[in-house]
Amino acid sequence: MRLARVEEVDRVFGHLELEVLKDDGEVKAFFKVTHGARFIELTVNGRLYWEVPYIASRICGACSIAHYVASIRAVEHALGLDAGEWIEDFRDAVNMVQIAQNHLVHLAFLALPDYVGVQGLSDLKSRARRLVVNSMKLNTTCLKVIRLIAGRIVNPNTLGVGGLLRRPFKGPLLKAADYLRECEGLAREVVDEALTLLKVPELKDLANNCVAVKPRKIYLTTGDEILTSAGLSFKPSNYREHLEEVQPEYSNSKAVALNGAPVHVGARARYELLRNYLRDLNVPEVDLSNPFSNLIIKAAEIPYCITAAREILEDLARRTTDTIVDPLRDGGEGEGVGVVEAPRGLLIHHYIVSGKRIMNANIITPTEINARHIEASAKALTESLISNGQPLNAGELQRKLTMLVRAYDPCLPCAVHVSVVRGRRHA
Amino acid sequence: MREKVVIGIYSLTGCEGCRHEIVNLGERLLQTLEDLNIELAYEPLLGLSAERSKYDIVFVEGAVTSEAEIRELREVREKAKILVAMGTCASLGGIASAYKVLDDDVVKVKYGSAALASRGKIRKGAPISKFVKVDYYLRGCPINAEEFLKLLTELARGVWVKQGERRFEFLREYVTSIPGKVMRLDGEKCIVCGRCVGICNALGVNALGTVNRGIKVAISTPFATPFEDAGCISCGLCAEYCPVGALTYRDDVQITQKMLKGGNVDAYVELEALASLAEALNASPWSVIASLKAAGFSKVILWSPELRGSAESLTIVPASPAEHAYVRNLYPSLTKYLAEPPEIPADGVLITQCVARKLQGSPVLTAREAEKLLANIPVDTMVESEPDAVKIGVKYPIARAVGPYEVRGALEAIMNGYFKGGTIAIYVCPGGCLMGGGQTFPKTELGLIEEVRERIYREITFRINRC
Repeated sequence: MRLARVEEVDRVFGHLELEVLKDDGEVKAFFKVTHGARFIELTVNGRLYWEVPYIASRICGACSIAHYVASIRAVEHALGLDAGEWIEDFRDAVNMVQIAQNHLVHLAFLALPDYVGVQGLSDLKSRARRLVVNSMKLNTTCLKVIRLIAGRIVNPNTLGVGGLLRRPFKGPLLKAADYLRECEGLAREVVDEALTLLKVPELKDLANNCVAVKPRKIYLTTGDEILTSAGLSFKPSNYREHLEEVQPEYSNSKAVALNGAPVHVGARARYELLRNYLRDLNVPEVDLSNPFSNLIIKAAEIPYCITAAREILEDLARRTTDTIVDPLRDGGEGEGVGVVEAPRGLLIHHYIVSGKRIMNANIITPTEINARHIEASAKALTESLISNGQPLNAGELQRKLTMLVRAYDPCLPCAVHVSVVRGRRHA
Repeated sequence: MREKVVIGIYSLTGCEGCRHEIVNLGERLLQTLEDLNIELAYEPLLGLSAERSKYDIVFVEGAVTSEAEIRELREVREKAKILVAMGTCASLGGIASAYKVLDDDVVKVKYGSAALASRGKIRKGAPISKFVKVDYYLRGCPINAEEFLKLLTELARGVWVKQGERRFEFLREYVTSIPGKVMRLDGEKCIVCGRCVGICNALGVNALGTVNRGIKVAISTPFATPFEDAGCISCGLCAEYCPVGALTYRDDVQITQKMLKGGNVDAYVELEALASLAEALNASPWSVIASLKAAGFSKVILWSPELRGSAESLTIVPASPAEHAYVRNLYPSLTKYLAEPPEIPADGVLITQCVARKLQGSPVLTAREAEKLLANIPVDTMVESEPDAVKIGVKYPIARAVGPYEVRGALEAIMNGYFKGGTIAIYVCPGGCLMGGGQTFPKTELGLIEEVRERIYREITFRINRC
């Protein structure tokens, strides 16, 4: 028996269908990605390695910088290049500003209407005008900073394999830091106001299984080790031993399991695992076993990212750099894995390079990893509604399910960068 | 109040980066929607997921990758008055079309057998214009949000493309019209084909060029200065090459007609212009002379310019004011050797092939204008008539450089000091006098014009010499 079906989930990036069935007394949830396939991994095959970041960043328009950085890091690891600390810090700063901006768009434009009880942005504006106007202002500032230091908002063009393609002068770095300093107060204001509106529903995540990248320095910097909530720690190059990719028959996207169990990546997972690396993240009291808490941590990360990025940029401007401006053009042999904490969680790029060309590529995105966790949570949510004893309201279930999905902020173009297609909507 | 403009933003297979750009416009987007009375009816990213049955404008992002998407796209096209392809994927196919092979083995290894089973439904990414008519393109990966706003604003204001109009209404502010003593450019008529720029470049003058980028491209002189200040030599070839009449030279037909009504006006006809007229009117040159008399000229005098130089010192003799300007603008160091251009007769109307002579006085008719003057006269049936006088100038100089390549070579040789004395005449016009800027609309088959005119020209000179 079909309990609920949302043919096109709105307020998410890409095309997604959600279905919950009851079969032999057992509730089954299906996270069906209907976004079309673009075969990015096939496209990358045989390309020159310095072209790969450009293609990889086009996997997703929302988090293109995370893909860009992960791709660069993977190629660098494969070729045994070290870009140096300055560059790594610079990438962290760019990534952090993007995380803040992405969270902001997700929180204010995509998720918040659910909790205020309106349909879309324009309705939200009439209900919570100050919040919307402020978050748009903040968003514009973040974009200004990204444009200043990364070149473009979507698909940046200052970073390259082995260094920077364009030297960022001291002036722009300081100016970007200034912009960020100016909006720190605004960010706190926006987040405080949003948190008063965010009354998340109760839900217990039974398999509380999280994965995140262990940062090099502070919270949300890149690193080369992966941590899990089971206390496991492994090198990114061994990811295949732990993370298993499965292709569900019904979805265009793969689904990933950690040692056979669904796993959550994202803000909640980061907070759970990496609390030690934090200095000041003002997180309100929150029940971390609730998947909806992802939203609250996301909100809390916005002011943190802005402050941290500002500090890094100021530091970078102080340290003079003899950055490699020209990307290296020597080939090499090797295999490399690059991991980055994207706005939506752990992102893995894995390339085999031979000579100057990419011989094989594998990419695992946060939404792929979350797919099974979303299904598990949707199942738990449905069961909790059924066990209330009251008759099941289909509309209410549908609303709650889409709310749950949006709390994960899935990004469907990312999820379908690779995989199989079983037609799409209406197919 | 104007009716609401209903717009929708649809997405097929892409990275959603273009929609991200639009959402990132934030307040400016909402403000634009409010100001222009636009209703954003469909954009699932902003929670507007109820489809309408009719849209005024639909923006489509992403490439087409499956049969289902083709159906969806066709449905949307039916609903939309205007369809805009947004971004590289929708315009060209983008990343979705970039992979080379979809070899079965590769798919099996990388994507498992489930992919093989569903292969029938996969298509390599294709631009949407392959399946439906597209009215506008917003290009770039991702699109430029400013360009999106601009297009949206102009479309919403009701400035649609009108059939038969040469330029879109909303580009009017980028239209450049250039004034000049002889040459003029009417930006309203220009279709930006670039032929004028080509010929100007070939001459090495480079007075005309393209300005702006993208949909704003226009033809202009640098900074839209008048032609003479931009280095134009008034050769008139751009006007000859312009297919729509946007580039024109000063029209002296009306003044001439006025003068003819007053009576007692002599016509000085250049030999090349006479040949050109005879070719265009399909008549003998002597009938053309008779027709000119019938048009009201009291005397018709055959004329050719006198190129004066001196044997003692080095002299560059320009064949017309065009060459004079050419040396002045491009080889200023040689101005000291430069003689004045040949004078034109002061006591009559000159009919010439050379547009640049218009700089020297008024009225000066080109052969094309003379053709207009003779429009009502049945030239081919006129009884032939002899010219009243022949004033052929002395072709004094010894050396001649003809065409831009020879002229440039000669001038550079002089600059480098290879010549110490002597006189050289320069004719920079690549068409030569027979195919110059002021020529008639040719009636002969395209490849044969010069041959026909040359034959007539020889006929004329032969007859003059015999007299």
